[in-house]
Amino acid sequence: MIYLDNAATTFIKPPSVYRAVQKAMLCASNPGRGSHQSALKAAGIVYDCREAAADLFHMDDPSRVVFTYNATHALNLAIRSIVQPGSRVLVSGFEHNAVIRPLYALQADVLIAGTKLFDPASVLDDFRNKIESVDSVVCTHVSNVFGFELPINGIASLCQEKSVPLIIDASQSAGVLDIDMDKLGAAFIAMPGHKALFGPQGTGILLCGRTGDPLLFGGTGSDSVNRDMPETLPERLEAGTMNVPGIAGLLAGIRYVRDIGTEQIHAREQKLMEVLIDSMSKIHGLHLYFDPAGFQGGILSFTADRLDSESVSEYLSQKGIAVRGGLHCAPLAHQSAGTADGGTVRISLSPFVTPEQLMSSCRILRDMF
Amino acid sequence: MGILGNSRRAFALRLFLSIKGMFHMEKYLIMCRSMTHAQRSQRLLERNGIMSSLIKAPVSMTRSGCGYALILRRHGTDGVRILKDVGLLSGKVYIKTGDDWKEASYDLS
Repeated sequence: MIYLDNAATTFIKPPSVYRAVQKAMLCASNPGRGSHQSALKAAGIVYDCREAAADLFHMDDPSRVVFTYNATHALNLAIRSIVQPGSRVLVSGFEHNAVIRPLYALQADVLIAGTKLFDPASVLDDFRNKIESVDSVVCTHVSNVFGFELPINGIASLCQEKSVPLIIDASQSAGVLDIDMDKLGAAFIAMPGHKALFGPQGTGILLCGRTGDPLLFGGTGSDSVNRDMPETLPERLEAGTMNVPGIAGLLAGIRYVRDIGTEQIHAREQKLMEVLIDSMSKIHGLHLYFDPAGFQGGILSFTADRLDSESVSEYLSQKGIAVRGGLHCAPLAHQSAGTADGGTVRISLSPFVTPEQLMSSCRILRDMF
Repeated sequence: MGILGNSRRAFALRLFLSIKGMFHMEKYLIMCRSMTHAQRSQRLLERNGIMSSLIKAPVSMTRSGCGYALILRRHGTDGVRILKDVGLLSGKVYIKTGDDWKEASYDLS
Protein backbone atom coordinates (compact mmCIF):
# COMPACT_ATOMS: atom_id res chain seq x y z
CA MET A 1 0.00 0.00 0.00
CA ILE A 2 1.13 3.53 -0.73
CA TYR A 3 -0.10 5.45 2.28
CA LEU A 4 -1.01 9.05 1.48
CA ASP A 5 -3.56 9.73 4.21
CA ASN A 6 -1.22 11.11 6.88
CA ALA A 7 -3.54 14.00 7.69
CA ALA A 8 -5.93 11.40 9.11
CA THR A 9 -3.19 9.58 11.00
CA THR A 10 0.44 8.68 10.32
CA PHE A 11 0.07 5.00 9.62
CA ILE A 12 3.79 4.43 9.29
CA LYS A 13 5.69 5.28 12.48
CA PRO A 14 9.39 5.35 13.33
CA PRO A 15 10.45 1.87 14.63
CA SER A 16 11.21 3.37 18.04
CA VAL A 17 7.50 4.09 18.51
CA TYR A 18 6.44 0.46 18.11
CA ARG A 19 9.21 -0.65 20.48
CA ALA A 20 8.23 1.95 23.08
CA VAL A 21 4.58 0.88 23.07
CA GLN A 22 5.45 -2.77 23.47
CA LYS A 23 7.98 -2.05 26.22
CA ALA A 24 5.46 0.02 28.14
CA MET A 25 2.88 -2.74 27.91
CA LEU A 26 5.41 -5.13 29.43
CA CYS A 27 6.72 -3.00 32.29
CA ALA A 28 4.50 0.01 33.03
CA SER A 29 1.26 -0.16 34.99
CA ASN A 30 -0.90 2.73 36.24
CA PRO A 31 0.99 5.94 37.10
CA GLY A 32 0.07 8.01 40.13
CA ARG A 33 -1.76 5.24 41.93
CA GLY A 34 0.50 2.71 43.63
CA SER A 35 4.10 3.29 44.61
CA HIS A 36 5.47 0.00 43.31
CA GLN A 37 8.05 -0.31 40.58
CA SER A 38 5.74 -0.66 37.61
CA ALA A 39 3.64 2.34 38.74
CA LEU A 40 6.74 4.50 39.16
CA LYS A 41 8.00 3.30 35.78
CA ALA A 42 4.72 4.39 34.21
CA ALA A 43 4.88 7.72 36.00
CA GLY A 44 8.42 8.23 34.71
CA ILE A 45 7.34 7.61 31.12
CA VAL A 46 4.45 10.04 31.42
CA TYR A 47 6.61 12.77 32.91
CA ASP A 48 9.36 12.22 30.36
CA CYS A 49 6.76 12.78 27.65
CA ARG A 50 5.55 15.97 29.31
CA GLU A 51 9.13 17.24 29.41
CA ALA A 52 9.77 16.27 25.80
CA ALA A 53 6.60 18.04 24.65
CA ALA A 54 7.39 21.12 26.75
CA ASP A 55 10.83 21.23 25.19
CA LEU A 56 9.53 20.82 21.62
CA PHE A 57 6.97 23.58 22.07
CA HIS A 58 9.27 25.94 23.98
CA MET A 59 7.57 25.79 27.36
CA ASP A 60 9.31 26.12 30.73
CA ASP A 61 6.77 24.16 32.73
CA PRO A 62 5.98 20.54 31.82
CA SER A 63 2.95 20.67 34.16
CA ARG A 64 1.21 22.73 31.51
CA VAL A 65 1.34 19.79 29.08
CA VAL A 66 -1.91 17.88 29.47
CA PHE A 67 -2.48 14.50 27.82
CA THR A 68 -5.76 13.89 26.05
CA TYR A 69 -7.10 11.09 23.87
CA ASN A 70 -6.89 13.05 20.61
CA ALA A 71 -7.04 16.61 19.31
CA THR A 72 -10.84 16.63 19.41
CA HIS A 73 -10.75 15.90 23.15
CA ALA A 74 -8.12 18.62 23.59
CA LEU A 75 -10.19 21.15 21.60
CA ASN A 76 -13.32 20.35 23.56
CA LEU A 77 -11.42 20.90 26.82
CA ALA A 78 -10.05 24.21 25.58
CA ILE A 79 -13.32 25.47 24.10
CA ARG A 80 -15.35 24.52 27.17
CA SER A 81 -12.83 26.34 29.36
CA ILE A 82 -12.92 29.58 27.40
CA VAL A 83 -16.21 29.92 25.51
CA GLN A 84 -19.31 30.84 27.45
CA PRO A 85 -22.68 29.74 26.06
CA GLY A 86 -23.97 32.33 23.61
CA SER A 87 -20.71 34.31 23.53
CA ARG A 88 -19.20 35.56 20.28
CA VAL A 89 -16.33 33.54 18.85
CA LEU A 90 -14.20 34.40 15.82
CA VAL A 91 -12.99 31.46 13.74
CA SER A 92 -11.27 31.09 10.39
CA GLY A 93 -12.99 29.84 7.28
CA PHE A 94 -11.05 26.57 7.44
CA GLU A 95 -12.03 25.06 10.79
CA HIS A 96 -12.59 21.37 11.38
CA ASN A 97 -15.78 20.02 12.97
CA ALA A 98 -13.74 19.43 16.14
CA VAL A 99 -13.96 23.23 16.52
CA ILE A 100 -17.33 23.97 14.93
CA ARG A 101 -19.39 21.26 16.66
CA PRO A 102 -18.37 22.15 20.25
CA LEU A 103 -19.11 25.80 19.46
CA TYR A 104 -22.48 24.85 18.01
CA ALA A 105 -23.23 22.76 21.11
CA LEU A 106 -22.49 25.81 23.27
CA GLN A 107 -24.77 27.90 21.06
CA ALA A 108 -21.90 30.28 20.51
CA ASP A 109 -22.34 33.17 18.13
CA VAL A 110 -19.76 32.15 15.53
CA LEU A 111 -18.23 34.83 13.31
CA ILE A 112 -16.09 33.66 10.40
CA ALA A 113 -13.02 35.52 9.22
CA GLY A 114 -10.49 34.75 6.52
CA THR A 115 -12.11 32.63 3.85
CA LYS A 116 -9.72 33.30 0.97
CA LEU A 117 -7.75 30.16 0.30
CA PHE A 118 -3.97 30.61 0.17
CA ASP A 119 -4.22 34.34 0.94
CA PRO A 120 -2.71 34.81 4.43
CA ALA A 121 -2.63 38.61 4.13
CA SER A 122 -6.35 38.69 3.44
CA VAL A 123 -7.02 36.29 6.32
CA LEU A 124 -5.08 38.48 8.74
CA ASP A 125 -6.84 41.64 7.55
CA ASP A 126 -10.21 40.00 8.02
CA PHE A 127 -9.30 38.91 11.54
CA ARG A 128 -8.13 42.45 12.28
CA ASN A 129 -11.44 43.88 11.07
CA LYS A 130 -13.59 41.51 13.07
CA ILE A 131 -11.73 40.95 16.34
CA GLU A 132 -13.08 44.03 18.19
CA SER A 133 -16.50 42.57 18.83
CA VAL A 134 -15.55 39.04 19.93
CA ASP A 135 -15.03 37.25 23.23
CA SER A 136 -12.57 34.64 21.98
CA VAL A 137 -10.79 33.34 18.87
CA VAL A 138 -10.37 29.74 17.74
CA CYS A 139 -8.18 29.21 14.71
CA THR A 140 -6.58 26.34 12.87
CA HIS A 141 -2.88 26.63 12.09
CA VAL A 142 -2.95 24.54 8.89
CA SER A 143 -6.09 23.50 7.01
CA ASN A 144 -6.63 19.74 7.12
CA VAL A 145 -8.20 19.90 3.63
CA PHE A 146 -5.92 22.19 1.67
CA GLY A 147 -2.72 22.44 3.71
CA PHE A 148 -3.21 26.21 3.77
CA GLU A 149 -0.92 27.64 6.47
CA LEU A 150 -2.81 30.46 8.18
CA PRO A 151 -0.92 33.52 9.54
CA ILE A 152 -1.08 32.25 13.12
CA ASN A 153 1.73 34.49 14.42
CA GLY A 154 -0.15 37.57 13.21
CA ILE A 155 -3.45 36.33 14.60
CA ALA A 156 -1.82 35.53 17.94
CA SER A 157 -0.32 39.05 18.10
CA LEU A 158 -3.73 40.54 17.37
CA CYS A 159 -5.28 38.50 20.16
CA GLN A 160 -2.59 39.55 22.61
CA GLU A 161 -2.99 43.19 21.60
CA LYS A 162 -6.75 43.04 22.10
CA SER A 163 -6.58 40.73 25.16
CA VAL A 164 -8.79 38.17 23.47
CA PRO A 165 -8.11 34.54 24.44
CA LEU A 166 -6.90 32.38 21.56
CA ILE A 167 -7.25 28.64 21.04
CA ILE A 168 -5.09 27.17 18.27
CA ASP A 169 -5.87 23.91 16.51
CA ALA A 170 -2.40 22.58 15.69
CA SER A 171 -3.65 19.23 14.38
CA GLN A 172 -1.81 19.53 11.06
CA SER A 173 1.15 21.63 12.18
CA ALA A 174 2.45 20.02 15.40
CA GLY A 175 5.58 18.11 14.45
CA VAL A 176 5.94 19.89 11.09
CA LEU A 177 6.09 23.61 11.88
CA ASP A 178 7.80 25.22 14.85
CA ILE A 179 5.24 26.16 17.50
CA ASP A 180 6.36 28.40 20.35
CA MET A 181 3.65 28.28 22.99
CA ASP A 182 5.03 31.06 25.14
CA LYS A 183 5.67 33.45 22.22
CA LEU A 184 2.21 32.87 20.74
CA GLY A 185 0.61 33.61 24.11
CA ALA A 186 -2.31 31.33 23.32
CA ALA A 187 -4.72 30.26 26.03
CA PHE A 188 -4.55 26.71 24.67
CA ILE A 189 -2.96 24.84 21.78
CA ALA A 190 -4.52 21.48 20.90
CA MET A 191 -2.95 18.70 18.87
CA PRO A 192 -3.22 15.00 18.20
CA GLY A 193 -0.39 12.69 19.22
CA HIS A 194 -1.04 10.34 16.31
CA LYS A 195 -0.37 12.53 13.28
CA ALA A 196 2.96 14.33 12.73
CA LEU A 197 4.12 13.61 16.29
CA PHE A 198 4.01 9.91 15.29
CA GLY A 199 2.40 8.64 18.49
CA PRO A 200 -0.26 5.92 18.48
CA GLN A 201 -3.95 6.68 18.12
CA GLY A 202 -5.56 7.44 21.47
CA THR A 203 -3.09 10.22 22.26
CA GLY A 204 -3.34 13.97 22.13
CA ILE A 205 -1.84 17.00 23.83
CA LEU A 206 -3.29 20.21 25.16
CA LEU A 207 -0.71 22.91 25.85
CA CYS A 208 -2.16 25.15 28.55
CA GLY A 209 -1.57 28.87 28.85
CA ARG A 210 -4.18 28.89 31.59
CA THR A 211 -5.60 26.30 34.00
CA GLY A 212 -8.89 25.41 32.30
CA ASP A 213 -11.98 23.54 33.43
CA PRO A 214 -12.32 19.76 33.53
CA LEU A 215 -14.48 17.89 31.07
CA LEU A 216 -14.07 14.58 32.88
CA PHE A 217 -14.34 14.20 36.62
CA GLY A 218 -12.79 11.28 38.45
CA GLY A 219 -9.71 9.87 40.09
CA THR A 220 -6.39 11.63 39.75
CA GLY A 221 -4.31 9.64 42.22
CA SER A 222 -3.97 12.47 44.69
CA ASP A 223 -6.01 14.66 47.05
CA SER A 224 -8.63 11.93 47.14
CA VAL A 225 -10.73 13.30 50.01
CA ASN A 226 -11.46 16.44 48.01
CA ARG A 227 -14.61 16.04 45.92
CA ASP A 228 -13.52 18.74 43.52
CA MET A 229 -10.98 18.08 40.82
CA PRO A 230 -7.51 19.38 41.77
CA GLU A 231 -6.97 23.07 41.14
CA THR A 232 -3.59 22.66 39.48
CA LEU A 233 -2.41 21.26 36.18
CA PRO A 234 -2.09 18.74 34.76
CA GLU A 235 -4.19 16.60 37.12
CA ARG A 236 -7.13 19.01 36.93
CA LEU A 237 -7.70 18.02 33.29
CA GLU A 238 -6.59 14.36 33.46
CA ALA A 239 -9.16 12.23 35.26
CA GLY A 240 -8.93 8.46 35.10
CA THR A 241 -6.29 6.08 33.81
CA MET A 242 -4.11 7.45 31.04
CA ASN A 243 -3.09 5.70 27.86
CA VAL A 244 0.41 4.91 29.14
CA PRO A 245 1.50 2.68 26.24
CA GLY A 246 0.23 5.40 23.91
CA ILE A 247 2.12 8.09 25.78
CA ALA A 248 5.25 5.92 25.68
CA GLY A 249 4.87 5.73 21.91
CA LEU A 250 4.19 9.45 21.73
CA LEU A 251 7.39 10.11 23.69
CA ALA A 252 9.34 8.10 21.12
CA GLY A 253 7.61 10.01 18.32
CA ILE A 254 8.36 13.41 19.84
CA ARG A 255 12.01 12.41 20.28
CA TYR A 256 12.10 11.36 16.61
CA VAL A 257 10.71 14.77 15.57
CA ARG A 258 13.14 16.57 17.87
CA ASP A 259 16.13 14.61 16.58
CA ILE A 260 15.33 15.33 12.93
CA GLY A 261 13.96 18.85 13.51
CA THR A 262 10.70 20.36 12.30
CA GLU A 263 12.59 22.46 9.76
CA GLN A 264 13.99 19.35 8.08
CA ILE A 265 10.65 17.56 8.20
CA HIS A 266 8.86 20.55 6.68
CA ALA A 267 11.53 20.96 4.01
CA ARG A 268 11.23 17.29 3.04
CA GLU A 269 7.46 17.52 2.77
CA GLN A 270 7.78 20.68 0.68
CA LYS A 271 10.14 18.89 -1.74
CA LEU A 272 7.75 15.95 -2.00
CA MET A 273 4.89 18.40 -2.60
CA GLU A 274 6.83 19.99 -5.49
CA VAL A 275 7.31 16.57 -7.09
CA LEU A 276 3.63 15.78 -6.64
CA ILE A 277 2.29 19.07 -7.97
CA ASP A 278 4.65 19.00 -10.93
CA SER A 279 3.50 15.51 -11.87
CA MET A 280 -0.20 15.92 -11.23
CA SER A 281 -0.49 19.24 -13.02
CA LYS A 282 0.23 17.36 -16.27
CA ILE A 283 -2.80 15.10 -15.87
CA HIS A 284 -5.83 16.30 -17.84
CA GLY A 285 -9.11 16.54 -16.06
CA LEU A 286 -7.71 17.29 -12.60
CA HIS A 287 -7.99 20.58 -10.74
CA LEU A 288 -5.33 21.02 -8.04
CA TYR A 289 -5.69 23.34 -5.06
CA PHE A 290 -2.21 24.55 -4.22
CA ASP A 291 -0.46 27.73 -3.30
CA PRO A 292 2.08 29.01 -5.83
CA ALA A 293 3.58 31.18 -3.09
CA GLY A 294 4.28 28.11 -0.97
CA PHE A 295 2.12 28.72 2.13
CA GLN A 296 1.23 25.06 2.14
CA GLY A 297 1.80 22.09 4.41
CA GLY A 298 2.16 18.54 3.14
CA ILE A 299 -1.47 18.36 2.06
CA LEU A 300 -2.87 18.62 -1.47
CA SER A 301 -6.52 18.52 -2.47
CA PHE A 302 -7.81 18.03 -5.99
CA THR A 303 -11.04 17.49 -7.88
CA ALA A 304 -11.66 15.62 -11.12
CA ASP A 305 -13.86 16.74 -13.98
CA ARG A 306 -15.46 13.39 -14.70
CA LEU A 307 -15.68 11.73 -11.29
CA ASP A 308 -16.66 12.67 -7.76
CA SER A 309 -14.06 12.62 -4.98
CA GLU A 310 -15.27 9.41 -3.33
CA SER A 311 -15.22 7.49 -6.62
CA VAL A 312 -11.66 8.65 -7.30
CA SER A 313 -10.60 7.68 -3.77
CA GLU A 314 -12.24 4.28 -4.11
CA TYR A 315 -10.48 3.64 -7.41
CA LEU A 316 -7.12 4.61 -5.91
CA SER A 317 -7.78 2.42 -2.88
CA GLN A 318 -8.35 -0.57 -5.15
CA LYS A 319 -5.00 0.20 -6.76
CA GLY A 320 -3.31 0.19 -3.34
CA ILE A 321 -3.15 3.95 -2.79
CA ALA A 322 -4.64 5.31 0.42
CA VAL A 323 -6.12 8.81 0.18
CA ARG A 324 -9.29 10.42 1.50
CA GLY A 325 -12.24 11.79 -0.44
CA GLY A 326 -15.24 13.85 0.63
CA LEU A 327 -15.56 16.76 3.02
CA HIS A 328 -12.85 15.71 5.52
CA CYS A 329 -14.98 16.67 8.55
CA ALA A 330 -14.42 20.28 7.47
CA PRO A 331 -17.44 21.49 5.46
CA LEU A 332 -16.56 25.09 6.35
CA ALA A 333 -13.21 24.78 4.58
CA HIS A 334 -14.92 23.43 1.48
CA GLN A 335 -17.49 26.26 1.57
CA SER A 336 -14.63 28.77 1.73
CA ALA A 337 -12.83 27.16 -1.22
CA GLY A 338 -15.93 26.50 -3.31
CA THR A 339 -15.60 22.70 -3.18
CA ALA A 340 -18.56 21.96 -0.90
CA ASP A 341 -20.43 20.27 -3.72
CA GLY A 342 -18.71 16.87 -3.77
CA GLY A 343 -15.63 17.68 -1.72
CA THR A 344 -12.08 16.89 -2.82
CA VAL A 345 -9.60 14.06 -2.91
CA ARG A 346 -6.90 14.73 -0.35
CA ILE A 347 -3.31 13.52 -0.56
CA SER A 348 -1.34 14.07 2.64
CA LEU A 349 2.34 13.39 3.12
CA SER A 350 4.78 12.40 5.82
CA PRO A 351 8.59 12.13 5.85
CA PHE A 352 8.14 8.38 5.17
CA VAL A 353 6.57 8.96 1.76
CA THR A 354 9.04 8.61 -1.13
CA PRO A 355 9.18 10.41 -4.50
CA GLU A 356 8.90 7.00 -6.18
CA GLN A 357 5.60 6.33 -4.40
CA LEU A 358 4.28 9.69 -5.57
CA MET A 359 5.34 9.01 -9.18
CA SER A 360 3.67 5.60 -9.02
CA SER A 361 0.48 7.18 -7.72
CA CYS A 362 0.52 9.78 -10.48
CA ARG A 363 0.91 7.08 -13.15
CA ILE A 364 -2.18 5.35 -11.81
CA LEU A 365 -4.10 8.64 -11.79
CA ARG A 366 -3.00 9.36 -15.34
CA ASP A 367 -4.29 5.95 -16.45
CA MET A 368 -7.59 6.69 -14.80
CA PHE A 369 -8.08 9.94 -16.72
CA MET B 1 20.58 9.68 37.29
CA GLY B 2 19.10 13.08 36.44
CA ILE B 3 18.83 14.66 33.05
CA LEU B 4 22.34 16.10 33.35
CA GLY B 5 23.48 13.07 35.33
CA ASN B 6 26.46 12.45 33.15
CA SER B 7 27.62 16.04 32.78
CA ARG B 8 30.78 17.32 34.42
CA ARG B 9 28.85 20.05 36.16
CA ALA B 10 26.40 17.66 37.77
CA PHE B 11 29.25 15.36 38.78
CA ALA B 12 31.15 18.22 40.37
CA LEU B 13 28.02 19.35 42.14
CA ARG B 14 27.33 15.88 43.46
CA LEU B 15 30.94 15.50 44.65
CA PHE B 16 30.79 18.87 46.43
CA LEU B 17 27.45 18.05 47.96
CA SER B 18 28.63 14.57 48.97
CA ILE B 19 31.46 16.07 50.93
CA LYS B 20 29.19 18.74 52.37
CA GLY B 21 26.51 16.14 53.00
CA MET B 22 28.75 14.10 55.22
CA PHE B 23 28.18 16.80 57.79
CA HIS B 24 24.41 17.03 57.20
CA MET B 25 22.88 13.55 57.32
CA GLU B 26 19.36 14.47 58.37
CA LYS B 27 16.59 12.90 56.34
CA TYR B 28 14.06 15.31 54.88
CA LEU B 29 10.56 14.62 53.62
CA ILE B 30 9.02 17.24 51.35
CA MET B 31 5.28 16.97 50.72
CA CYS B 32 4.10 17.54 47.15
CA ARG B 33 0.61 18.33 45.95
CA SER B 34 0.55 15.73 43.15
CA MET B 35 2.61 13.13 41.32
CA THR B 36 3.50 15.62 38.60
CA HIS B 37 4.56 18.22 41.16
CA ALA B 38 6.73 15.61 42.89
CA GLN B 39 8.32 14.60 39.57
CA ARG B 40 9.00 18.20 38.57
CA SER B 41 10.59 18.86 41.94
CA GLN B 42 12.63 15.66 41.75
CA ARG B 43 13.98 16.48 38.29
CA LEU B 44 14.92 19.99 39.37
CA LEU B 45 16.79 18.65 42.37
CA GLU B 46 18.59 16.10 40.16
CA ARG B 47 19.75 18.87 37.84
CA ASN B 48 21.25 20.48 40.95
CA GLY B 49 23.01 17.30 41.99
CA ILE B 50 20.56 16.34 44.76
CA MET B 51 19.06 12.85 44.62
CA SER B 52 15.68 12.02 46.14
CA SER B 53 13.19 9.18 46.35
CA LEU B 54 9.62 9.71 45.26
CA ILE B 55 7.15 7.98 47.56
CA LYS B 56 3.50 7.97 48.38
CA ALA B 57 3.27 10.10 51.47
CA PRO B 58 2.49 8.43 54.82
CA VAL B 59 -1.22 8.57 55.49
CA SER B 60 -0.72 10.59 58.69
CA MET B 61 0.90 13.40 56.68
CA THR B 62 -1.74 13.78 54.00
CA ARG B 63 -4.63 16.02 54.92
CA SER B 64 -6.69 15.13 51.89
CA GLY B 65 -5.69 11.56 51.13
CA CYS B 66 -3.26 10.09 48.59
CA GLY B 67 -0.30 12.41 48.53
CA TYR B 68 3.25 12.24 47.24
CA ALA B 69 6.51 13.23 48.81
CA LEU B 70 10.23 13.36 48.17
CA ILE B 71 12.68 11.88 50.63
CA LEU B 72 16.09 13.54 50.68
CA ARG B 73 18.66 11.53 52.58
CA ARG B 74 21.26 14.26 52.15
CA HIS B 75 21.31 17.96 51.39
CA GLY B 76 17.81 18.46 52.68
CA THR B 77 18.36 22.10 53.51
CA ASP B 78 19.79 22.81 50.09
CA GLY B 79 16.94 20.92 48.46
CA VAL B 80 14.29 22.85 50.33
CA ARG B 81 15.98 26.12 49.45
CA ILE B 82 16.18 25.24 45.75
CA LEU B 83 12.51 24.33 45.60
CA LYS B 84 11.49 27.37 47.62
CA ASP B 85 13.47 29.70 45.34
CA VAL B 86 11.58 28.58 42.22
CA GLY B 87 8.18 28.45 43.89
CA LEU B 88 7.90 24.66 43.92
CA LEU B 89 7.70 24.30 47.70
CA SER B 90 3.97 24.14 48.44
CA GLY B 91 3.59 21.46 51.10
CA LYS B 92 4.98 20.71 54.53
CA VAL B 93 8.56 19.77 55.18
CA TYR B 94 9.49 17.15 57.79
CA ILE B 95 12.84 16.22 59.32
CA LYS B 96 13.46 12.77 60.76
CA THR B 97 14.54 12.87 64.37
CA GLY B 98 15.01 9.39 65.77
CA ASP B 99 12.11 7.31 64.54
CA ASP B 100 9.71 10.21 64.10
CA TRP B 101 9.14 12.85 61.48
CA LYS B 102 8.96 16.35 62.89
CA GLU B 103 7.47 19.22 60.95
CA ALA B 104 10.05 21.84 60.03
CA SER B 105 9.74 25.44 58.99
CA TYR B 106 10.85 26.53 55.51
CA ASP B 107 13.43 28.88 57.02
CA LEU B 108 16.08 26.29 57.72
CA SER B 109 18.99 28.64 58.10
